[in-house]
Amino acid sequence: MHNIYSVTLANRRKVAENTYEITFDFSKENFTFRSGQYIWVTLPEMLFPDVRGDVRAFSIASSPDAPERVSILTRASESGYKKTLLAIPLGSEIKVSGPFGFLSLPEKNTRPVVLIAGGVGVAPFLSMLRDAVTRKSDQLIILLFSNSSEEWTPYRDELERLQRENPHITILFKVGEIDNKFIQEATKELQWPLWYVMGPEAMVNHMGMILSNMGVPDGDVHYEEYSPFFYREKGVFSENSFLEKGALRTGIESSASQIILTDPDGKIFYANPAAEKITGYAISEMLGQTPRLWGGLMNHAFYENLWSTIRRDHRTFNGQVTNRRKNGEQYVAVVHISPFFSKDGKLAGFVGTEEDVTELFRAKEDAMRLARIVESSVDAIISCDPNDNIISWNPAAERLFEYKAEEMVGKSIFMIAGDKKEEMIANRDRVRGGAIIQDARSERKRKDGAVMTLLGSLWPIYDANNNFIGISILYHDISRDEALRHLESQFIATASHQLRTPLTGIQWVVERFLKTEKPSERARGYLQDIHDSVMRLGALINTFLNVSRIEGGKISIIPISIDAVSFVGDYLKECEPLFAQKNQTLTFEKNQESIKMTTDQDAFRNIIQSLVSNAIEYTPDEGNIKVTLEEQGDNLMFAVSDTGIGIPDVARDFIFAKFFRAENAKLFKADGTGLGLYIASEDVKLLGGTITFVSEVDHGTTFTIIIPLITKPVASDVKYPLEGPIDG
Amino acid sequence: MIRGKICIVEDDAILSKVLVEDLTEAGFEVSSASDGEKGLELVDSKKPDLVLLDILMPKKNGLEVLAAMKGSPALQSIPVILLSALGSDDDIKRGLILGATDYIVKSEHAMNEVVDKVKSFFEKDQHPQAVTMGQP
Repeated sequence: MHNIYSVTLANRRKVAENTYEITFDFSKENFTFRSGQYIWVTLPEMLFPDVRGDVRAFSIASSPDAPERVSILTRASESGYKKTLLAIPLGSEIKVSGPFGFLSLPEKNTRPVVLIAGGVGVAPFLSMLRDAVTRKSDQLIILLFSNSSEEWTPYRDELERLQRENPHITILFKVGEIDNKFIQEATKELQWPLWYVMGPEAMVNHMGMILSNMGVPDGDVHYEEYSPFFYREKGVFSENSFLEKGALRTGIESSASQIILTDPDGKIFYANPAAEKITGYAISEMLGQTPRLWGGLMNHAFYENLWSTIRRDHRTFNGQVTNRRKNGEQYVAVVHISPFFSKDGKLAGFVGTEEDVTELFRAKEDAMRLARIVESSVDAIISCDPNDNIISWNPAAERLFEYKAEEMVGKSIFMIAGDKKEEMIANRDRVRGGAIIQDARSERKRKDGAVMTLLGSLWPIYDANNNFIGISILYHDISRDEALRHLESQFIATASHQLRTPLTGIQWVVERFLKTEKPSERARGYLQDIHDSVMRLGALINTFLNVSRIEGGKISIIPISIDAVSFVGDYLKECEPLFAQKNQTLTFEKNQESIKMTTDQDAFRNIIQSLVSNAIEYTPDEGNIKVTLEEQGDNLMFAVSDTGIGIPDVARDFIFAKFFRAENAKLFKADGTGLGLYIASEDVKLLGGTITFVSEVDHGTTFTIIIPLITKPVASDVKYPLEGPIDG
Repeated sequence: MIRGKICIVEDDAILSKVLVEDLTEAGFEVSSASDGEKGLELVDSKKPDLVLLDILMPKKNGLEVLAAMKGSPALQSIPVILLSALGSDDDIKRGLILGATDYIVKSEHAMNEVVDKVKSFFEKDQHPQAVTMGQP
């Protein structure tokens, strides 16, 4: 229970540099308190002005067993209140309200207590320790006490005495800031302590952060917050005195809401700093203007309604409005406009408040947009509470699993587990631990029992206070994707085959023509042109076909025994005209004259072809190209270095992606499919190897592949309709 | 001088015509069929020294023809060179597993090379068991 007491200023003494202990005489009052509590102290008259008024809260530093003499601590400062407190004569009558606060030590407690104090924040702890010594308490208490210097440390002698008198008390003094290390070191022996922190606001916040980082639960850390509301309710000070001292003005000036006062015509005669912040106009620009300065964006009916509400009906207008800041940016505000009246009842003006709710409004819009996305998503989106019960089940989930939302909400998510329940539990536990799972391929069961292959993504949901409140799950049905991809690659395969045959026809007929008809030199040239175009078109079709085969999983690896040196050498010989055309120098280095390997020659040839032809194409005339072949243990190393245009850094991550071409490659050579390196890298994968590169723009690139000398056969997943015996 | 008997089973009339002309000029006795069924009949009646067999064909595809030949005591020893429209083809690999002697990727070879390959086949040991995996 708290009350208002009339007490006298009994004593004032210096306890450290700049630090004073003020003692009040409560002997005429019947006052009791617990250690750790605080009081509000109202000064009789202010000798020095203070915009914060004449009342302040102080923790009691004295022991509760002497309630007739209550002391507090204060540092001297420039504040009018503090200066008055240190100047008014002893014996002055002071109004005190209290006791307040819940910082006291719990009565039945077996946990050790750590008190962390900064400066005069030590007051409530001093009260606790004095009390503990008087009561011979066996409560284990450690006080960590920081001050900016020795001289500024109050009660050093007394604290050391208290420590000697009660073996359960430990006090550690610190000059300067208390840091993480100091706390850890001081409290390492303690099992599960309770924490109390008092001091300047910045220090309390800092300690809060340290403790939170140490993993101390919020509930184990105690602070004090001096609350003026108790005080005001009790009417300890008059509303007027508060106003006169500027507290109301201070409050309005520091409000985050825009507050403006206008005359009956709407002309502004007061605007608070928040109005500047929200509208972007300086107060001086607003004075004399109407709020139309930043308003006027709503329709006519809105303003009609506003004015009739406040001017005709003399009622408060409440609404949401879109206004425009000085910089042109629009914002959404909640406005309240009320008329106010003079003593004789005449309309004296309007008070308007605006709260900028743009963020909130956007968040709401975002939430609605998100809800629409979830509703219209083609992927199943499901959310569960921490007990694995389904909270939401979108229309796509209804279509995919064939369960209606009303059948599933409230039910366990494991209804769709099929025989994957253990996997689902493991995933759930990972997500609870903060993990996000993306596109994990798995199977889930539909209502009719059918098992579907899906890609599942899971992520944790947290509330605004970062508490885990559930899991979101997205299931992407890949059966459709796979069917489409299959169709696509089948189409490419068929198209390529069909295109190939007439092309070969053209090629052979041209050859026959040249051989049998003895055409003129000019005709021979034209025929050669036809022939070259056909060859290029053919190579292009081959490339597309290779991609479709890779995508369709149609490639089987049939390793046969070859000599890598002659295999590569033969290919390079075929390329000689191309090197010659660009005047490029080719070097072929090998560490053995013959390297026997067992590999799939189609895949191997694709790799060599892609890397060598790229080197030729993307290296300017007169450049150098070096092909290296080395037997390295169980592996073959094949490398192609050029002095070409290089691969820009931004392209590094995409260089093996299908259809990707770096910008400098596009500039250097307009045509190109962006498929060569994709095919090469896929073929390297099929052979169980790796492909890497180093590159510097305008200097050159080296691609290196490492593949095993002996590749295992891989059967393609395409079944061929064959009857009759197969022996090989 | 006839260098040998060849059956060409190829559904593309133009390719077939050019091949027949060129191989005939080179001194082979050449006959042709335009689908798998006719091809099998042709091979059965001619008992050639070599069959050039396209893979993708109507009625019976080349691999079916090949499997049928390998299943027939009278035809199983006749060597077969597969004709494929494209390289890196799984069908070629299947054909080799089924017992084809060699293969030719039509699009990768000039006519001359095809004919040279056939010629060199006849110059080599023709025993059908001496199967080598194809080199383009």
